[in-house]
Amino acid sequence: MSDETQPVPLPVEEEADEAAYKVTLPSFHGPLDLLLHLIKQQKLDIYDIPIVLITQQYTAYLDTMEELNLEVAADYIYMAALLINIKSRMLLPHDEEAPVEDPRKELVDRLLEYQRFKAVAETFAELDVVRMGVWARPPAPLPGTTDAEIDMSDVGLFDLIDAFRTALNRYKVNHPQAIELKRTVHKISDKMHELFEKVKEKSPIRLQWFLENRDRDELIAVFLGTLELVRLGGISLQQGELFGDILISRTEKEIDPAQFALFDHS
Amino acid sequence: METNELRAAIEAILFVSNEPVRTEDLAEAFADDGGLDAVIAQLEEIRRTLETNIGGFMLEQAAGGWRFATRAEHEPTLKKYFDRKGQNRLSIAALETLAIVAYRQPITAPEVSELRGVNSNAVIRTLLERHMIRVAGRKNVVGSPFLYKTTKDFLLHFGLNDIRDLPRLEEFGDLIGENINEDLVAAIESAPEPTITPAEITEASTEEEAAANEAAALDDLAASESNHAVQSDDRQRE
Repeated sequence: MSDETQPVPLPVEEEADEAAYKVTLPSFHGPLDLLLHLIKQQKLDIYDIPIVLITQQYTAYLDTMEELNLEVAADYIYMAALLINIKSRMLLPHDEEAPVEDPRKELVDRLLEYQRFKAVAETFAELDVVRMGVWARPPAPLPGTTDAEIDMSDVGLFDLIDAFRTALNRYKVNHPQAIELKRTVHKISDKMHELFEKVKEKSPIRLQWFLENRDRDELIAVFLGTLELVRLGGISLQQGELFGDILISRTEKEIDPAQFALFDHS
Repeated sequence: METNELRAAIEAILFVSNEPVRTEDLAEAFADDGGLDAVIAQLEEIRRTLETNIGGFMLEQAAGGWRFATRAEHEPTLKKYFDRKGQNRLSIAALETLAIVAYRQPITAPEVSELRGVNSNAVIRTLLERHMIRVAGRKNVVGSPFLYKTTKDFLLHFGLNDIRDLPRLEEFGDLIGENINEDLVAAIESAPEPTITPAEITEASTEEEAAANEAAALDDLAASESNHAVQSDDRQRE
């Protein structure tokens, strides 16, 4: 068995501006639905279906479907085979003495049964529309019932999924996405530039002042950068007394700041 | 307790309750005030009063109990005020399937497909997702297919007090082309004999097992669905 609704073609109209076909399709909900439609359309007696006629019409519908390149679901083809089977069984001669059951009986029973469910479905459809408008108050916790007994008798998987979804949403609201703090990488070259600019503006400066408000990683970069600058001869360090302030001064030597980048190691 | 007091007390309970209040529970609560008969009389009185006053809500008997619910005519107002689109209507295929499950429950997916003449797995999935049906266990036949039955939500949605409130299937006419629908809506009010036939079932004994069953059932349905080239209109709408 295959698909749910199988459309049955009505006349095809060609659209003027486009070469495309526009097809209006009433939908049938399976082979039984189509058979009932045919019986009703031809005003046939369901208890005495002219099986040859109905088989012809049924297969004609399937042919039209195929002509319109609609996929004819297996369910429909199965029914066509069943009709032909009934037709052939009716042609078989049978003993007058021992009458056999009408080969159509099983199909008629199925049609009648399906017809009933179809009628129920129509009633449900009417109710569905009306009842869609009937709203009830959503459940709310009763006062003082924190440890209320939980009724799990009618809990299905989808209730759990819904509950989980709600919890997930609430969690998302309460826990906004964390702000990712990237660890700042301090480049030695940056510190060298910084220090070099500083001493160009004002010289000498106190090393202690230059080291203020920096974290450990940065201090290491500054320290290494300072040493490199001294090595390059761009600056000189003086300490006037033991444990006294270290002063950084600009030297006469011209150095190219472009080479600072060489001191960055990955 | 005076009659008026009893009525007021019942109203208070109905107002606060999170789910339909069972008549028997009320009868027990007011055993000293006239019990079942008195409670029913007052419930009917509340219902009648609300009906005559044509207020915003009514008292209805659904899913085995009593609850306040809005009148259908206020739907547009409510939708607009609460900015809700409302649920999609159930498709004809879904309604047919629901009708079959309602009358033949518990029933397996292949049995539903047989009655409809088309594969109905996709529709059954939709109905599970809409909480209209649920897994009721497995049938003790080859392959242990899942059995489905209607839910309390189904009763509430269709305003049915009990599944036995459905009119007998035989009342849904044998003759093609005969318009019998108007009588049928009315017939739902009547209470015919139960049409549910007990079957050999293995029922889930725990909540975990029931939930696992439902998950497995969905897998089963999805697996057999993917074998078909054409997906149902129900699935596509999801």
